[in-house]
Amino acid sequence: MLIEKYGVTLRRLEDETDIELVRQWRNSPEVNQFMFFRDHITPEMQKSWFERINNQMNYYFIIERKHEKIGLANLKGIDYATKKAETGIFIGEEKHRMDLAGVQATAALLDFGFEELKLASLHAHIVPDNIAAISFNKALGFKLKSTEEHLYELTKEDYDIKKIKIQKVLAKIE
Amino acid sequence: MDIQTFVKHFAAQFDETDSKDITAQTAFRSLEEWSSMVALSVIAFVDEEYQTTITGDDIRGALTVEDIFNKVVEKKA
Repeated sequence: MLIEKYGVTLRRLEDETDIELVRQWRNSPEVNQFMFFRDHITPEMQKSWFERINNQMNYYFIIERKHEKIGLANLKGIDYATKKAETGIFIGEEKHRMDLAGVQATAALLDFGFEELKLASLHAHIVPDNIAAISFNKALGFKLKSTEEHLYELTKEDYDIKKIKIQKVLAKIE
Repeated sequence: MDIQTFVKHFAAQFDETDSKDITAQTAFRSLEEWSSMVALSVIAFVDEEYQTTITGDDIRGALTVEDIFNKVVEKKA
């Protein structure tokens, strides 16, 4: 499965090489520091994790930009009855961490969630030290739902308002 | 176009960062709040305020706020 939009490609995670690449990114200090689960992930743990998430309740995508694999984006724990899911993203390749790839991939992912999967809201748990991610998500329309759980929520209605500016800029530079 | 006005606009793209912490010489990527979303906001304000389109590559090639300002000046020339 491929989503090509805003100058990036989201390719569903299924290749064994990609699963290992994700493990290496996930174990890197730059990515790991902003995760709630920070234990070292072994190949066995990664394989077990992939077996748990490789289904229609979870969409994990490798982010590609100009044919280079640069990160991971996901919609997980999808509840089709309540139309809710959790979302997350990280850029594993350092040179792309500060450019537009993050917002390009996020916009493609959220469009897929709201328009294709017909979700009504998404939530995200964000480590409180991750100031950039909190600011990033607020700019997308996420609102703090629980300080104790570090939980933010984005409704389709709020995203529809914010995405106008995002799409306008991404279309201009694509 | 003057650099001080540009720096003010640039600083306004941040929610959590004190505008006093941002000057023409600020290495913007070192700011804790910097992200691809702020980069997008910078592209948007340059487009709106200066009727010029800068790209992700322009931002990637810049180190300081002044570097981006100079890129805008160059593109408008």
